[in-house]
Amino acid sequence: MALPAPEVRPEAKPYWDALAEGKFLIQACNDCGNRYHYPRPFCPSCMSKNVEWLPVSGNGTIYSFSLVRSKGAVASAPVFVTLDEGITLLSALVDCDYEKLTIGQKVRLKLVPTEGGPPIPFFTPA
Amino acid sequence: MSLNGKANIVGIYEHPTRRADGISLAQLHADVAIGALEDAGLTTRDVDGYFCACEAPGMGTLNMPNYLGLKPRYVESTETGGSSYLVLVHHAAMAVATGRCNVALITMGDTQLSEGMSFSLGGVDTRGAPETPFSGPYRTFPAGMYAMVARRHMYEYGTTSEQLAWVKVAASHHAQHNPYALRREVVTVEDVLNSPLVADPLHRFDCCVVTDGGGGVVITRPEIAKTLKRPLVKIAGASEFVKTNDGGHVDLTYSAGRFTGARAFEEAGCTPADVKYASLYDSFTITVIMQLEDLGFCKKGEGGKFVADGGLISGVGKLAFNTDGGGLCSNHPGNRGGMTKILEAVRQSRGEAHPAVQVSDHKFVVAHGTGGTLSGDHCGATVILERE
Repeated sequence: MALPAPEVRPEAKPYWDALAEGKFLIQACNDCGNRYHYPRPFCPSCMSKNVEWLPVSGNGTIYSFSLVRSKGAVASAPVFVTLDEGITLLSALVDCDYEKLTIGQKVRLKLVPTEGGPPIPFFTPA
Repeated sequence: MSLNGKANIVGIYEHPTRRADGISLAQLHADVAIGALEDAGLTTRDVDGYFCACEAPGMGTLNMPNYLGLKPRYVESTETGGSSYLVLVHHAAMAVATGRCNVALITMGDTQLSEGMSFSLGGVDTRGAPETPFSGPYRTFPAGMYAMVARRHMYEYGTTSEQLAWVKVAASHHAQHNPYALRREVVTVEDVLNSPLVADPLHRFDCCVVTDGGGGVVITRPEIAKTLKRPLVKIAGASEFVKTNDGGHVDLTYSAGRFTGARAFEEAGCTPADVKYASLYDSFTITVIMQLEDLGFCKKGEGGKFVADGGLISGVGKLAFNTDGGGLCSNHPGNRGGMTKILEAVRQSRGEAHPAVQVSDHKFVVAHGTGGTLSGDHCGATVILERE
């Protein structure tokens, strides 16, 4: 299943370019040490523009999740994943037994292709 | 500067419609404006401050004064989703307190349902939001985003689906007395649990209704309020706070209400123990439990126990909530529940709620809204009213 291509805004182009190469980036502030996502060219904690892209493993644990249903069937499985590198981001779970998901479960990055754009980061049980 | 005692709510009106076929959006706003002004004993000629959010037609604060025949010297439009109107009550009180205007009118109205757009926010285009490229692809839906708060609450504190269901049960007990409520049937915990799962662990009956409708509020100086023939309801405290996920530092165990409640109670000079009625935002049942804890009606994690066994039913529990039936049963116009929260709080303060659900011998009432997404960007707004 190919999804619609994401909207690539200028400030996030390195993020999407990395995903196209199979790498997953978050951002880190060189002044205060804050790590953050989604991308922006300054630290939302201390306002510094001295920030860098930080490659991360794509491994994490489920902080919380839901199964959004349409006529009983699971239509999507939104999730907050806490990355091993420390921050928690919104995504969705794919390729899994939806009824066996639990908070605290280990998950890993799963890139889903898009129509003519970079892939979108989803997660699947590790 | 404290706002306590510097502004009164003197007029309210809730539109009876729940599906506004044949009424234009501007007309709906006019209906609630006229209704609230007539309730106050004032006219559009008295209004010199006008407030609305983005669902108002066109450039609301610019175009609606023409339609309504207003000559405002102070206008404000703030958009925080469903809590906008509690934020606007706060801001209108500030404008009145500082002399920017004498009579402030707030209107809310939405006709989306009759126009076939049932899940959006009128006047709001979220496509341009900074987060959208990083959240849009996941098809989270509002119910899924709130469900993740519910699941985390269950994980952290042992909250159960039965406890969540009690919130809806209480709302339904109140809605049976409201002839305008969309759903007046009393439901049981079993009915809620047997309704289809919409977004695990939330069932259909854990979700608010989708309606058209609206309401209006008139706020003025105490000196003017005392000349009008309505019960005196003063704004004793007000506070707002925007909580976000802060670049990935996510904690879904608390909401913005943690900050607004403490500040509003301090300004009002009371505590949750002094309150017998609260209008609490009920987009979903979990929203109510989170707010009860964050506003201090119970300890964090004990919201489930607080609401169980009729804890929110007027005359039964410790705290009556949403005695009009709330967004869960009566009215959630335009997916924006904040206006109806302040309206029922004023009715309770005046003693004008339905006799079957009217709380007796109380001085302070609370109205709290949570606009936006409880597990993402959201704005909590608390208003505390005191009957004089």
